Amino acid sequence: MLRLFTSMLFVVVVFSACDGLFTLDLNDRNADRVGYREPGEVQAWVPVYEDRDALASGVSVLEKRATEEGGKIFVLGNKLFQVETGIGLHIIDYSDKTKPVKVGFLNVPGCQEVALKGNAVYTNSFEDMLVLDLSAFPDVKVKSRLPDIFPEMKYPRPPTRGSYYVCPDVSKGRVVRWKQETVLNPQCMN
Amino acid sequence: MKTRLLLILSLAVLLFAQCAKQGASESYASDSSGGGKGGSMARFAIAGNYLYVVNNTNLLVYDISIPGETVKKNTVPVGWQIETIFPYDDKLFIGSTTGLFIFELKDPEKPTRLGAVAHFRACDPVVTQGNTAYLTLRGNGTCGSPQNALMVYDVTNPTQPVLKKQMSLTGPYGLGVHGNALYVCDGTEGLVVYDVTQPLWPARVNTVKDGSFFLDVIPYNDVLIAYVQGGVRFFDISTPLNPVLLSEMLN
Repeated sequence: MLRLFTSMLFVVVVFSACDGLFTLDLNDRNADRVGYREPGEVQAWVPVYEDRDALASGVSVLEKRATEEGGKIFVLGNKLFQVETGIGLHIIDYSDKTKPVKVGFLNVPGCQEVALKGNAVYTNSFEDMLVLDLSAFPDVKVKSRLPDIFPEMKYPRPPTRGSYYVCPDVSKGRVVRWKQETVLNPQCMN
Repeated sequence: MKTRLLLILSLAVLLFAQCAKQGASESYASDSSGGGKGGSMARFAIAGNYLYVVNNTNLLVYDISIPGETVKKNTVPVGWQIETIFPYDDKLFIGSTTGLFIFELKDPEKPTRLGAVAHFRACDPVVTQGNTAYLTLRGNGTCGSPQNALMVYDVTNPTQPVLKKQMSLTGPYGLGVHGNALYVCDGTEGLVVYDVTQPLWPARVNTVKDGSFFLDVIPYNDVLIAYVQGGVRFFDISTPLNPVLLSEMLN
């Protein structure tokens, strides 16, 4: 019996090691649950849920904001765009390289990627690819939305493997990103 | 009467064309250097009038010659766990957790696989200059094995990339190459600068270690833009082997 359990555990471990191969629905599974362990107070990834209001308003230009979890960057001319993981894009003007200034923020829920050509911004909102038109900035339009280009970004996974995380709660909405905190007895492990 | 009308009409057309031209060249980011640039960990690559996108398994090709329009041209299966794409010359260098793939763009709508190399399981952004591809492998964290290294490949013959050198690192992320300098983000160990005067034999000459956790870099003209944990930092690289901090934007 114990042996069966061990081999099953092994299968689960092997399976979770290949997770990149599958699009896993974090909101839908219990495979990562470690209910039999009580790790105590540990560093763990905590889900950040989508702000439903922000999501409802779609892509928009907001006031510049603080960088909390900066992500990928793309530079074009005197402007630098940086992803705020899961939230949107910082627009930084570095015409004066010694004094870069933030000039705005594009609110793009689920954002992780960015590229630019001319007035077009290519980015993603979760699994969808978006093309934004900046030609009438600050009036920014979604030129097109290409659905399901990044199936693996539908539910972002905790950033590091072998770490504890707080199991997402479906009723709280979709997970946008993860932040690290000290948590008492987190019940999932990546 | 007819001639006059024709004259007015052609004048109008000319004027219109002039306006349209101005409109098209006026970009939000007032770009004078002929295009933007992404980091080595990007999933988007823009080459000419095409946008190349990698998701977990495929390379997607879009014609973006009409501003704001994306016309899907192709889907090319690449492999598993594709993470990064880097355009160079008429080629695409694609990194996965298990290897490097080189595609040529003779027909930009039909990328053709030229060659591939397998490596141990790790996260692997790649950049290329001349006939040399530089790739970092980070084994810890989210990716496979516990090895960490800078790999140097001779890609003179892209159908058969040859591993020339493997140099040990702490926990590398993105990288960038500019002139005779190769910049490698080595996490908390800082930004490692290699002299690549001899492209296949990088010599470690400098390390910017100031407490920042370096994740990726974009050398862009004479500025090195570094994505560090918490924000971005700007370095002057007019002397490529000696980056000098100009400013930072950390909140």
